[in-house]
Amino acid sequence: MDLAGEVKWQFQAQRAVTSTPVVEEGMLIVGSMDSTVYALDAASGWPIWRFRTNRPVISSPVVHDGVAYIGSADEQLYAIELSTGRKLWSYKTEGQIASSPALWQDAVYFGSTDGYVYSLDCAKGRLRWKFKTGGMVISSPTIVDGVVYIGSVDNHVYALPV
Amino acid sequence: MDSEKRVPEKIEKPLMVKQNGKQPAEPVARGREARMEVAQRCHVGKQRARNEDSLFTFVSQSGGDQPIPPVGLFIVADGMGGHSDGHRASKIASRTVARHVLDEVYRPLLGPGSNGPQKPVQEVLVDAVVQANRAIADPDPEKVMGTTLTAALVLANRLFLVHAGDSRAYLWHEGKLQAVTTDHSLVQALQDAGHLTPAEAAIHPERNILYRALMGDNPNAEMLEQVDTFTRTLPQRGQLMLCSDGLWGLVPETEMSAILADSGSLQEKADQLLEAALEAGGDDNITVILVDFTF
Repeated sequence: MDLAGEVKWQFQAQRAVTSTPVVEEGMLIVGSMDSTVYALDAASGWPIWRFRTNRPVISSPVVHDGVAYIGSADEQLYAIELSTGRKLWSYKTEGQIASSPALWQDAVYFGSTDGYVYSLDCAKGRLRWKFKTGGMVISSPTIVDGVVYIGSVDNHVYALPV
Repeated sequence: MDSEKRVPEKIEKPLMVKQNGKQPAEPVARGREARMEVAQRCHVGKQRARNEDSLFTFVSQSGGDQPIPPVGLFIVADGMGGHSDGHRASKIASRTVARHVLDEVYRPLLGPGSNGPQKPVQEVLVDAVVQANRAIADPDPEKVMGTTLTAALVLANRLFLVHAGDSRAYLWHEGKLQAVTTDHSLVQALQDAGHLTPAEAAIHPERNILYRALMGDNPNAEMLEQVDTFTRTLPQRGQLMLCSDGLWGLVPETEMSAILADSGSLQEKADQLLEAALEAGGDDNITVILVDFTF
């Protein structure tokens, strides 16, 4: 919509869009419960590419250095190259990922319903560390001054060093 | 009585998308007319009997109420001479891609709602190449047609590329020439692995061997994996150049840059690039497309 509230364009996915879009380099990235991550031209809404995961995408993407990081209910965190729409890597957890990832320097952080908070390196998706909470992690992390803050269904908020 | 009406100045308000407090480097200007101009040459060269290169260019610009965005489609295909009917392969492939892309991307823009492409544009381009590959397949296994293909689609200020082989696309912007495709050649793969320098690659006896091209014999699923696709926004001003190896293989990038930096018309630059390749021996077919754009 423009600032006057008029609809400039609209794009229809196959199911609900609960993911929060991100715009980078004129490209809007958003996930849908139809299991797809969409890249749309931000000015026109025309679809540029789509990337199919195996289950709904509730997580919101984060973009850095030409790569979008986003989780799926198929238990995987994906790194998708913006210019090609192709997967650079994926990392499998043991639970659905509804948490939206956050970045700090060269690492990506997120939670999973398997109860863990994960830190992976951005380049290859290798595990740096994982921290077990007492319940599912649906919350999305916030990172300030080298500390990852994230909540868990176990009623706790955790502060973890990056 | 007013002696003349004052016409208000157009106020250009760039469309800026702020994200996380960052301004994009190149805002898309509305109010200034977008423009694309194209020039091309396609020549048999000095030593080949037949021209096995093909090119295709299409530019659409509109004006008036709710103009559709500028659209350009530019294709270079280089038929593989060691295989039979390379000239047919490049012609069939380039026209098949053009037909599919214009049907799926351009025609919807002309409809009453101007809704634009319904399928993701990168998928349309890959489908086009799959169809082109199918179109050059010959039922006789003794006859294998082959061709490179590099296609650039410009839609508003976004560039989409699909590419297989060693024809190239370059972007010329602010005095710099940047290749936006990677050759699917043995020597490029050796360079990427650190086994060859660019100077060694230029004279390597197997520099014409490709590991990726349209050969008509790949099953569709394999074909999908074999094409490079790429998208990026274009700067407000610049030039795109697509060419076959008959140009880049003979004319160093420094010389191409000097020609593009020259003050002549776009067609004069295309002519100069051709002349440079002919003067360097012209031992292959030579094709060049130049697109000058302003958004």
